[in-house]
Amino acid sequence: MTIATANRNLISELESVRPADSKSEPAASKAWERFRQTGLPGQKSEEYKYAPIARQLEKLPALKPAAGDVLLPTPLPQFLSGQTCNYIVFVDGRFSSANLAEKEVKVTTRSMEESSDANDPFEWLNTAFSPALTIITVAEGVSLQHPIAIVYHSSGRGTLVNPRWTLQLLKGSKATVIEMCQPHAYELFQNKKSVIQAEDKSSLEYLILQDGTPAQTEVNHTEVRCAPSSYASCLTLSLNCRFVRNNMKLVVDGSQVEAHLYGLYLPSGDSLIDNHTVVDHRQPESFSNELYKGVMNDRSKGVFNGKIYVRPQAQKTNAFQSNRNILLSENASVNTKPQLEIWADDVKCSHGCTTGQLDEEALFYLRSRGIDKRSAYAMLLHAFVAETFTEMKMAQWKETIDGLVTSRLLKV
Amino acid sequence: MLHIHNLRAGIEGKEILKGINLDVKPGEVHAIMGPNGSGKSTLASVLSGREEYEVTEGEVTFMGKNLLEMEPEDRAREGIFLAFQYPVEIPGVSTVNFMKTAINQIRTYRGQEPLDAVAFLKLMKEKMKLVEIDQSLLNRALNEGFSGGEKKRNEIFQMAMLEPRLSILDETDSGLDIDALRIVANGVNKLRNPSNATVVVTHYQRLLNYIVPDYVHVLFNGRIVKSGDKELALELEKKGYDWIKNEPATA
Repeated sequence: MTIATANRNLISELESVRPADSKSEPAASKAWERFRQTGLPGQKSEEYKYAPIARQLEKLPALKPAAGDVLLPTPLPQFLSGQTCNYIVFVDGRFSSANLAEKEVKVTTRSMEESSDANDPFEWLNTAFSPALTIITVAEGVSLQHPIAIVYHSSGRGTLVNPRWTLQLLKGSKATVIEMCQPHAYELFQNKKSVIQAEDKSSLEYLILQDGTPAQTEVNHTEVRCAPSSYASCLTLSLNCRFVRNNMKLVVDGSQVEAHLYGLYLPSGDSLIDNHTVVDHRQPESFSNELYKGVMNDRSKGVFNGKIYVRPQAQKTNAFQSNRNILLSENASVNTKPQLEIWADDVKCSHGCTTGQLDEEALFYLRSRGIDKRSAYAMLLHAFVAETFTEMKMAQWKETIDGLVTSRLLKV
Repeated sequence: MLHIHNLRAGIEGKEILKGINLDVKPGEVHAIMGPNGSGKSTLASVLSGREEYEVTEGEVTFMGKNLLEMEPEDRAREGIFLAFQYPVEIPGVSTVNFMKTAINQIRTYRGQEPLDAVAFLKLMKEKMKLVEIDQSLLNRALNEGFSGGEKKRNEIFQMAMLEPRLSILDETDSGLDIDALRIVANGVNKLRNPSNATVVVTHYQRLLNYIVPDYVHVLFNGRIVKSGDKELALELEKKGYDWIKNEPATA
């Protein structure tokens, strides 16, 4: 038996680097206390059972936020190049600048406040370390012509970044949102929290692109709250990542809501991608549909946990969930668990999860027509994963996404 | 064109082909008949390169090249086509896209320019007509939800598109009603020319009324025990396979 090397005391390490400005903030101080008392999720944590985050953080260089603001060129990432965007930039986790194409988008900052239902240590950690809350607002009744692009840049000076923002889609507004990191190779820990409030009759298309950060460890807490008659469609696309835990929470807080959650994860090497999702139906007569798919290669790990809550008053809810996986190697693994808790009695809910290998007979069929093995693999995998992004409406990015996914699949 | 000498092969340690000899020349149609379990499909599988089959002895050359050393895709690129007994359903891949990839990879292999969209479409239209298949079928996911007849027609369509030198039809008649059988056979006949060859693997003589063979071989217990012309097929139809089983091996 080998004995684990001396455990770093991450809590005291973090305590010593708490930013001065957040020490004086009541919300931040309170959050820190809760975090300190609870600590990081350990091996026995049910929620982080398959994502050993504490062990992962111990592998990183000393955690500390970048001191002060850093001046850094922040060009649009390649994914967005040539596109007009409402561009919102975070550097080292701090709001840095906004370059807005449309006047109906406003960005303000205000002092930190904690969500009343924050219950994950990483949400508290974010609140304790974020200098301020960045609030993005889309004016009532406005359909934005250009996407809102929220991009995290890193200077490499901080090893702990805590981006934090709230997006308010006011009544009847419509927006496409992309959130991504500017690709970098720094070894750092990103602990993000964001909340999107989709007000009555608003409409959201939301892409979370996780690509090009091969050394980054991430915990992302993402919340989408849907008011009556709103529409939300979200895609979490995890391609080139090292260790990613996504906590995606969709709160259906009104009737006549239509919400779609899509996810696609393609880990390889030794990486881990863990998607924990919650769909919380709190009001009657709404619809949610969730589809997550993964292809695990090499020694990588995938995790899916999908909770659906249908509260007692949420009658006539339609909630569907599906998680499908393909393992390409004997050393790859996936842990998948649907978790439905239904209190209402007049609902339609379904869930399903599958894990399998690539169909050898289909592979032979394609090859017997002259298609080389690699292309045949990619073709079959593409066919397997495509429905996670072809259903999205984001016409301007579909082709780019398809290209990213295809080139990723050609590498397996 | 195809030369098989003393081919022995099996699966999971069990020998199924016990010394096959066969020569196929351009322009010829060979029928391989035999009772269930005689090794007909194994022969088709070995020729097309199914990896689960193991060749233990013998040699197979195609156009002078050692076929057994080639990957399945290279066999296709050299001009071998296998029409599957059970064509695979592949959700999410349309026949059109898949054919375009296949044709262009084959063309690249042969040092030809890939077809552009217009040229591909033109070729497809022409071949669709030849095998009487509808475009709507080809835009759908490959074989997904196709009837037995539609699947087999799609096989012949692919064969028409790829213009193979040697086509191996593995029990193409199974699961076909008489109309579908006629359409499939017509397609095959229209594709025949003096420079290509066809091997028809079948249990029944029925298909051979439509695709008339030059040679008929009877496979039994892993060996070709009798060869003849189309009259042999008719004799088999009349007498059944027991007649062959009771004769001493001649090969």
